Amino acid sequence: MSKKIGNININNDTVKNLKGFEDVFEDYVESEEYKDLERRKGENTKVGEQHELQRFLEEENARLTGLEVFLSKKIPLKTNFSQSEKLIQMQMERKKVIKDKLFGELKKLDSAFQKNLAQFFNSHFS
Amino acid sequence: MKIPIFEEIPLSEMTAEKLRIIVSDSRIGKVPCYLNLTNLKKDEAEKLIVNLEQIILEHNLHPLFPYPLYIVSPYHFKSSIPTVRTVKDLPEHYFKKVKRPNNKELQLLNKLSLKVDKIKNLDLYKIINEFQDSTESQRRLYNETKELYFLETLHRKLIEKKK
Repeated sequence: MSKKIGNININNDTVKNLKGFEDVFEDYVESEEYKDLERRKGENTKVGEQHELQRFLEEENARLTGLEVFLSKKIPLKTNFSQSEKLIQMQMERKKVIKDKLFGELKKLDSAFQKNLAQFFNSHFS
Repeated sequence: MKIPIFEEIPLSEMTAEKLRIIVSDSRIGKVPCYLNLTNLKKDEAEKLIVNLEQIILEHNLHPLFPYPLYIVSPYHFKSSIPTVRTVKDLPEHYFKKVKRPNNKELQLLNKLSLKVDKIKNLDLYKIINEFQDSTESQRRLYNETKELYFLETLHRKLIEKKK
């Protein structure tokens, strides 16, 4: 196996299949195109690593800003001026009104509920 | 300020006095930290965690904010400090390669440091307790709204059927 092809990261089976084409690959490995591609790959990895820490710190900055707002503004606002009790009261009142309406509808003799109930009792206890 | 990546707190002795010194020397709250208790028996670890909670409270630190403190142990404990089974189970987000920061990164670190101090100065225990108390009314509101929605849907369907 050619030494130059051996330096590229390809497995042995692939190298065996390439038998007879060594010259073509040697030319490619020596070419400027291949060297340029390798150089660019290296540069991209380096740039990625350089920006990794900066991105991490920016994310942390955003996270801590959010956390600070949540702990110092949103929670005190929620606990000091809670709307929950008023909303619960409102929902209970609306529930009472709708229940009255519903029972009024269901109590009527010609309602679907009464009819179904009558049918059920008639079929089982007659 | 140091880059906020995981820092292991070395545990040489387990006495309360020694633990107090370890906690005051550590950067708990300033960076994410963890205590590896995998070599301790369950009762020993439990005793240490009780002492640690007390000491953290004395130092006005919180186990979750701004940065968390983890306990690494195969056992499960009832504690305010989060526990994981192995070091690998710790959040990957805080495992980063140590690297010398450039000027821009240093500026960001200074900003982070200010934010961390701001959060540390809050009365975290009081805020969290108040927040937990308020969850009860939120749950009640959720149940009431759910029931109302059911009744409203039922009523609407009955009316539609009648028409």
